[in-house]
Amino acid sequence: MAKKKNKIQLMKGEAGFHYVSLVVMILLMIFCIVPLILMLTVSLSSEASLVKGYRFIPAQWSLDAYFFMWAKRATILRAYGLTIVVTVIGTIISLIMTSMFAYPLSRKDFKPRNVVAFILFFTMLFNGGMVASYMVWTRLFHIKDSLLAYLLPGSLMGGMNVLLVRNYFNANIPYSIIEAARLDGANDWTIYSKIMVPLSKPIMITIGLFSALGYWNNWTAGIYYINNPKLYTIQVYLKKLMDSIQFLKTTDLSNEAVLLASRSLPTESARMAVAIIALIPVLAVYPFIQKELIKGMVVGGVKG
Amino acid sequence: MPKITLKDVTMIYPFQKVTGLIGRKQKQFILKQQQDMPYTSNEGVIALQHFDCTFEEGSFTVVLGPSGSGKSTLLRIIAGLERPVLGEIYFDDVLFNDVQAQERDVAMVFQNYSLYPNQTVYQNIAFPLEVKHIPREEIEPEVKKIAELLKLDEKLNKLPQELSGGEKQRVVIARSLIRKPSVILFDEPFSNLDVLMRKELRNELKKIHETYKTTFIYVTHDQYDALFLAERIVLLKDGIKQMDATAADVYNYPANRFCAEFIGSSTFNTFEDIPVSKDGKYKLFGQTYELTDKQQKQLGKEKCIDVGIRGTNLAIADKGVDAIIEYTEMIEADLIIHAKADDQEIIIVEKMDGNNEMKYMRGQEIRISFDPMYFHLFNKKGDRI
Repeated sequence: MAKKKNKIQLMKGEAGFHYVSLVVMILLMIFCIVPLILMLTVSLSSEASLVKGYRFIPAQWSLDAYFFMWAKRATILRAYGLTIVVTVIGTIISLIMTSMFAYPLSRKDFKPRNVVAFILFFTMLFNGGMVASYMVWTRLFHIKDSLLAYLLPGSLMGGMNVLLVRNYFNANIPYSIIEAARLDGANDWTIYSKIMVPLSKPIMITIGLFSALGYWNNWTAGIYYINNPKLYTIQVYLKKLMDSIQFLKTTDLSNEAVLLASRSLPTESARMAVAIIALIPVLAVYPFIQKELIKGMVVGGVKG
Repeated sequence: MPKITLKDVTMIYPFQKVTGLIGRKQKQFILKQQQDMPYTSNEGVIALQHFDCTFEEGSFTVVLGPSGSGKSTLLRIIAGLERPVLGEIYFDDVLFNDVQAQERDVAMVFQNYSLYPNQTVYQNIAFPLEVKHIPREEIEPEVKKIAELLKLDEKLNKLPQELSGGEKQRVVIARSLIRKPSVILFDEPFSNLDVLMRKELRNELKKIHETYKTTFIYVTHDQYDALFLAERIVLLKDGIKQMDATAADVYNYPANRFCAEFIGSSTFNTFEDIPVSKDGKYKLFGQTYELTDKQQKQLGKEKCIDVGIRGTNLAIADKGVDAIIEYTEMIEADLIIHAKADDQEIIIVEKMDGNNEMKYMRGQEIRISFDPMYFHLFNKKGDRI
């Protein structure tokens, strides 16, 4: 007996749309993945072969960049560890603050919620600007050359994230559950911690990932507020490395010492190697949270 | 268990503010739509008007009314989820208007279950005790006891989404009972269930009330739920109390036409605008009947009445009003006969004896006997006379 093909039958119009979307998605995927592959191959190329430009298949394979990283392992590992600490602590605090801000805004019986929501929305459109912020953080909060410089400025809580979580609470958690809990004797803290947060896993993962990526990739805070090399995160280290390479390239190479240094350093490939190393945790975590992330991204799109 | 008294309670929901980037015409349209709703004031939609009632301790009262009559608002006010704009709520003569919901010792069973989806059946039932910080070893036997009573003992480790509608509602009832509240409020709890499940849970609820003797206030639009469960029925329409009496009194002596038609609605016959002569006589299908002196006084100067009679109080006999059967329908042991006499539809309820369907056929000529003893007479305002 011939086996029945388990294939979804598509209607005429649907089939066309199906194939066009498939082509578009494949193109998008290529646009995303090509730079990544290029980054990897450049990091595995010898510095001399890169003079002619970047190639997908290295003209000359080399692990020099990674040996250079290995030689600098103490600095890189410290930067790596620091980045993980900042990302984990920052993300946790950010999630707590965002959801705690969103919870009262989702409560119909919280009368000033519209005023508070407006203030929150206002901060999304207007802020004091870079100079004023810098002065406040350094002179009032004294965060210069401390880990707080990575955690506090502009990263703890975003207005957009609060609105996302509030909308999730409103659209996905029936208000009668909160009322039932109130009647069961639960106070607001119990309702928030035992009901709202566990029921908001998709949106928590989504904003958690946004926030974590924000902390992981944050190099500006390091540039503005950190002078102590021991407090460099991996992104700040990468930025400093790139600046140094730029310095070597633009400096008058008649100075013999500088010339020697520039020849012995795997400059371009090292840049890419650091970027690859910085990417690993994101690539490792993403597949595990992809499902919840998609659920969180389509909040409000479909009402269950 | 307290006695709950509501005095002159009025609830008005303010009109929804029309804001946002919409055109002026659209704004005006939405505002007008809101103002055109029945029973509005300048401030908003009136959900409950000057409501007075006392719920005795340990009683089982059913608040009955059509959709939008203010039943759920009443429950929410008692629960403390809404604050009335006027009036007072007393729990045992103590004013409770400003007491928070979580401090009222009131439990509520919602129509849409309102179970905590992230918690198992056990955790859901135990939740009210956990928030009171009662030790786990004390909670466990209590949960098991109540789960056994509600036939949930084998479902304790399941999540709410793995349960049927009936089981979910049992869990909600168990969660309400476990902390032994002074009042349990039921907001149309069985509306989402099928007929058999409703029947089963109705029986169980009655038994539970007899066991626990907690004050039960049950809101429904289903007259069968009301007649089966209630020790007392409070009938509501448009936020106004229509009647407050025992189930038998509501059925036999409805206070007005609305009450008469709402209870037993499908088989209540109303004959409108029947002229009454000066000496208090009126004719119905050629037969002359007479108002009592009291009824004449109550009618005053009005010259017309509405006459109502339940289909169950009509009989097919050898003598009576000539009518032709239009169609019949079977509802459990009753045969509902829809007939026509003098261009008026008459509904008669006959008990099934095995042959009724064969006995009464479409187009058949019958005679219907009216017994004035069962007449319900109403003036034009709809009040009983």
